[in-house]
Amino acid sequence: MTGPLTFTVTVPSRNVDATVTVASGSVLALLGANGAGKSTVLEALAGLLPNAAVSPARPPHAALVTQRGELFPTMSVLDNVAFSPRARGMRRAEAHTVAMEWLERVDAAELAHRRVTELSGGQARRVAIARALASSPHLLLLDEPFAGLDLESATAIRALLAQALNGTTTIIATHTTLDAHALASHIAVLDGGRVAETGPVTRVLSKPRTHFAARMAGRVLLTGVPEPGGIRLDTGDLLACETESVEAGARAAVAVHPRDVTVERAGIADVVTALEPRGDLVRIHGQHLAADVDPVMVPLPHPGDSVHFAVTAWGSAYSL
Amino acid sequence: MTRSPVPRWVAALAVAAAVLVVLPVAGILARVDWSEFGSQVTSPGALTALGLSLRTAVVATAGCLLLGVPLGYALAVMRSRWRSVLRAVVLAPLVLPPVVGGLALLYAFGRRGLLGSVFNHFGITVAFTTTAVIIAQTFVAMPFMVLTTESAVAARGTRQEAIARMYGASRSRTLWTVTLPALGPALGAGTVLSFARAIGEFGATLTFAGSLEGVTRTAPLEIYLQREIEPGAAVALSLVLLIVAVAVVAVAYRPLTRAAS
Repeated sequence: MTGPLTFTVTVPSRNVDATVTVASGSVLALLGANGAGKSTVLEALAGLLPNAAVSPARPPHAALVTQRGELFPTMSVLDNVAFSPRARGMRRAEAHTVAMEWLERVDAAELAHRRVTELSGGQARRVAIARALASSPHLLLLDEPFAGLDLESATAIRALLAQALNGTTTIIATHTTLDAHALASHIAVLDGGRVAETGPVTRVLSKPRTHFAARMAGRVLLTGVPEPGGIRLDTGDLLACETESVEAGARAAVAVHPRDVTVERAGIADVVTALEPRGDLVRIHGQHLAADVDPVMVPLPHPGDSVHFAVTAWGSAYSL
Repeated sequence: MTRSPVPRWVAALAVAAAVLVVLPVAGILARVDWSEFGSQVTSPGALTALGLSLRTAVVATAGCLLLGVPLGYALAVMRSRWRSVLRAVVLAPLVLPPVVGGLALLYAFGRRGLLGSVFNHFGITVAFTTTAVIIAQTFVAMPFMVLTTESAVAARGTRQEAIARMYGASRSRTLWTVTLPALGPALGAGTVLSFARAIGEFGATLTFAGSLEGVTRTAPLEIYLQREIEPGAAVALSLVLLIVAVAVVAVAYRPLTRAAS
């Protein structure tokens, strides 16, 4: 099959109505916060949701790796991986050979004769990935494949996935931009069951067009209209920046990272909405902007306080 | 010493309950004439009855597996509002007086029964044959299989089956490779309970199959008969059935207690 695959998934009971497109042989990252509907979209595509509608039609030969792995508990690891080849008519010995090859590719060959119940979380995830790949899926669906794993297992599995996918059309649900950068070529940002924004990974993450996509990319979106010398922000402030690539008359945006924002005596006036711990820094969220500050150096405001933010670095503006 | 949270009066009632069950068992043990026990349980009549009981109960248990498992599975996954009605009817033999069950069987499979008259037309007689014994035992024992299967299927859901289907398995393949292995412990418990119920069956058998030596006179019927002729032999045979019952329960409930600990 060539050409992009486009599916519209509708699950009214979960308020999901999302259209996703994945180019044949490429990886799409379905990026969204918890509860955005990522799992619902994947389960619907896999045919595991009875009350979901997929148009034009559910993809044949889809394989979903869920967060829990969901291996067959009464079978050995090898029989789990050989399950789909066997179900599609391969002889037992041949199916076991295929299964063994996939177990080797996910670095789990030594687990072949273990019982599923004896596996650790990381091992079970590897086996579940091998089982899905062994089914030669036309569409591979990975639901948060690194959730709940320790850092080392997650890194190792991410690396072997980058190799093993090898031309398999894949949709991978994730809430981290790391997975999108490491594995995907395109992103669909899911918000409240709808696709808020979609496009190539670097474009969406560096030049997001929606506040939600910007937040997923760890940035804050400032919007306004271009003016000689910069952008007149919706807050009324003028942000001096490069506006060459903004079309005349279009609305413009700048994606700002909170680490490039400081709290000053004057600047963009804002009201504090929340404080968020970020390692040794504190992110001060305002209604329009956010700033990462060192709580040792800067007295922390309280929610509701007025503050002034100053943007210290930014990229060039782009059209919305 | 840890203080038990159980009020004393509850403990007293628990002891009373245990005595109620243990005392009759002790009563049987007290009445067994151990010097005669060997010859009593190996007498031709006793051996014939025990052999018939064993054979019919094994076949009836197989019937429960073959029919009760699909019925329990269907009850667990069906969504119709008739489900509770169907369940009530299907499980009725569990609480029905066995004599009533026997009469019901007679009106279904007897010479003039609903289906029996059809059989009769083809020269097949069911009532008062060994087949009737097996049908009676299956009738009373199958609810155990239906119940254990239904609760096991309901407890695990059908998610694994959906995944098997996603991976291209046919419905039958999914049943054999995914569902039945997962139901293994429940099916084991259901089998043992059904066997125990079948081998102890009395009332429905007597009503529907009668008491012909070697044909329909199973061990419980033999015991009832011997009780008046030779009470010692009845007690000896009773002990055999008692041992079977206790062994069966010990085996059947092991998985449950292990899971709880």
